[in-house]
Amino acid sequence: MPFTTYRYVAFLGLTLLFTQLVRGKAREWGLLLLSFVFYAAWDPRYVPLLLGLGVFTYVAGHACAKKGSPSSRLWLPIAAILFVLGLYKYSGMVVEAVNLALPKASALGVPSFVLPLGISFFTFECVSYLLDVRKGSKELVPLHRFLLFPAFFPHMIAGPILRVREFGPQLEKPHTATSAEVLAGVDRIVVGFLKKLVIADTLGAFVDSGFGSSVAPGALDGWVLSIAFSFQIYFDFSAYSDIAIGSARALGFTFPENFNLPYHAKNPSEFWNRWHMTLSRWIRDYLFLPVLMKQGRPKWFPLVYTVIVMSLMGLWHGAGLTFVCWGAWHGLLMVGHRLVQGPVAKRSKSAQRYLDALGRAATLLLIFAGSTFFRSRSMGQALGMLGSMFTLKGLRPAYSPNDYGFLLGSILVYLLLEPRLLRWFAKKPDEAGVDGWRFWLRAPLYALALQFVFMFEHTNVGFIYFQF
Amino acid sequence: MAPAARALTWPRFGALAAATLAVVVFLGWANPIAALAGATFKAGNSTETQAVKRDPRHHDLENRSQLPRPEAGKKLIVFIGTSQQFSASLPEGARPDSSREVPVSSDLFLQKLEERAPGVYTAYNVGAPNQTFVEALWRSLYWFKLGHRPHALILQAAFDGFRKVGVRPEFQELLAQPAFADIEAEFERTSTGSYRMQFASARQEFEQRRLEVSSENGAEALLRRGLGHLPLYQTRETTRADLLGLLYSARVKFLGIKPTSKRHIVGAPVASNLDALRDLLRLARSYGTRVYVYNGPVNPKLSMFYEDEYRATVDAVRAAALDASGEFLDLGGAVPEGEWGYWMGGPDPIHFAEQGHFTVARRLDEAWGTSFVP
Repeated sequence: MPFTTYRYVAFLGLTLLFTQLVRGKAREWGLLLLSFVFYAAWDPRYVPLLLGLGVFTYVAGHACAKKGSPSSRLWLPIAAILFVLGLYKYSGMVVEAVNLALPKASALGVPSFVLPLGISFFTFECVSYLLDVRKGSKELVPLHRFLLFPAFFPHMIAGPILRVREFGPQLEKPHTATSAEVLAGVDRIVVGFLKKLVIADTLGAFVDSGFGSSVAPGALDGWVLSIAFSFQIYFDFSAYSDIAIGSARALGFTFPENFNLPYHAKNPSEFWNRWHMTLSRWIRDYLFLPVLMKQGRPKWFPLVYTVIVMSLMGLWHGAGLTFVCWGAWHGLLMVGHRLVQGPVAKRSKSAQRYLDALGRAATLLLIFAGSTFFRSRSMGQALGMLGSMFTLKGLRPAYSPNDYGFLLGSILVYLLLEPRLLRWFAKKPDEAGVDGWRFWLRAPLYALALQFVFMFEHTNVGFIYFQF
Repeated sequence: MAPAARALTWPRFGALAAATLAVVVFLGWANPIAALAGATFKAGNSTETQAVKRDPRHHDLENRSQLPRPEAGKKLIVFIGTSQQFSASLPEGARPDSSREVPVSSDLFLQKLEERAPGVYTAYNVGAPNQTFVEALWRSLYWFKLGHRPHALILQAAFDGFRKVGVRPEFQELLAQPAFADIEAEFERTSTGSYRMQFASARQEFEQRRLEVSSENGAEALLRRGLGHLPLYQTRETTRADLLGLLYSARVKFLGIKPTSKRHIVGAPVASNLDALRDLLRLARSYGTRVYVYNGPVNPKLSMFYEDEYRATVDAVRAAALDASGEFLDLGGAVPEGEWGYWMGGPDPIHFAEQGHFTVARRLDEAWGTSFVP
């Protein structure tokens, strides 16, 4: 069930009513049932997969939580979970790659699974559960309570990627949302709807037209389109996260933040501390730290390992070379940053200030350029576009002034409004304008937001991150 | 000392919901966006046009995809172009005359052919606002392969036909016909044109929309029907158009970017549309259809294009027409100053007034009329 539909609003309303009226075990079971209804609304055939993975992880978690259990008890179930992810997401890509090496007559049939919605997210949560339990985190029992961990509907499809230590206690000590929390949740959902329907989807139409031709755009338009896509995906995914976090808040749960003004980053590493933060910490905690903390590695190892891990992160986003290159691009940027850090630190303070500003601008431009890999349909398209962008071929604008104007407006919203909204969301619900004129100002603002939703909803386009 | 904040209680929460609903009802009744848009347009930004004669037998003026069946025994001429082909702008200060409908160039040209060769031809105008050549090719696949093969195509090449890419949702609906879906898939597979990805995107958009519509049969459809009782929901399409109009006016007023401002004809959209034009002409020739291409008139009061880009595009269109053994006519300067309309406080950049249609029809007839005599 897509978030930006009226049926989701109605579904959330009914769930909210349910959580307000029902307590105890019945509420847990009810939330679990509603989460599966939410998932089945997309495709009921995949409900058993979600359920099966959940039960499997629960059982495996129980086995590997025992002290002194052999490490195979951990790695086998993790391999099994990743196999399921690989089967659905990467088998087509692997077979196509194998077919390249085979004569045409003996080419293998390419499997064409429909990618189960949210599989990349809930498999990662299952893996993180096993690793955390192994490290000593408390198991989540009983089964129905555990199943809510990967399957709770606000985060099931595209995160935020939760950790058992932050979500487990909330499930064990359930809390009924206060009216102030519900209001805070509604605030956030409204913002998410507007960001998605009005900004991301409108930018998306421009981006689609720009990437809809195999002719590479000129340098100016190449840069404009990569910036437009960067902001489209920011508004799209952060809108999804707003709706997810807002929905959870209204139901009495607290989710971690997923974005913190990523384009304000001073360097590539900081970007990943601000962009898709729950994925970044997953990678940091399970892939980077356990390997890089080990003593005795050669000096070059962390640099190479960074590129490898970031390439895998790209692959997680999509089964294609463009995604791998996008990840590798970010890995290389991080390595580049690490390499220049030392020499910069030796400079005078005034030179450092100058170099910091330069680094910030370069970071931003290179992140925008890297998004070309993410959006392109093929490597040829991506390389053609990057080629014209970096050789500065073609500096005349080809698109309508409306498109450039809307992009400029979106950037202004990001620069001027987003920081205020983030500060607003960070407040405790009881402090976020529940008294005085701010409280009543919501009535016209909500109504106006509703008018904008009505006006723009017919362009209902799926969230970009739903495909992962 | 600041007073302590009042705790939010459920009754206050309910009061807020009621107040929001009241504002929703008020917005639906007063519709300030529409009022503001109305006031803006009245303030000297004329956007009115003269009604044109729309003969349902001959015209498929806007978004219909399928051609009506031609009259028995007559040869079919299809006009393809932008809104310039079927709109009549008004001269400065003129008001629309509601008592009459003015003829457009395609009808006037047909009248002239009727004089030369009575009862031989019928014509359809399948022009659409800002129709690109990618869209024209998409629709032509239907006409040539499934519909009624035209005897001749008369194409208008204009800036509007080159500035966008993609296939609009109304035209995508052709895919609902399985025969067209098969033809489109086959064409997409074999085409090497740079517009190919736009065809693929159009198919994906259509399929996604169909999925959404099919999933909206249940709860979503019910909820939409319920919302349909709200005036704010009923007017959402027109309010959106008003809002976009307002933004457009703001662009003109505050940024000075007018519909008549100089613009480039460059880049990927031009390349894609030229590829599509070439393939469209090739397709027509492969079916034995005669091809006539003209460069659409440009308002001489304005200097809208960069000369080198404009010339390069016209030359490319001419070369495409001649490559397909077709005819080419440059009508860029054919319509004199006095025959153009006035729009949004300035000379109309695209549409001419009634007299302009007579001029275009005359010029087409002078150049090509005799070639239509059997």
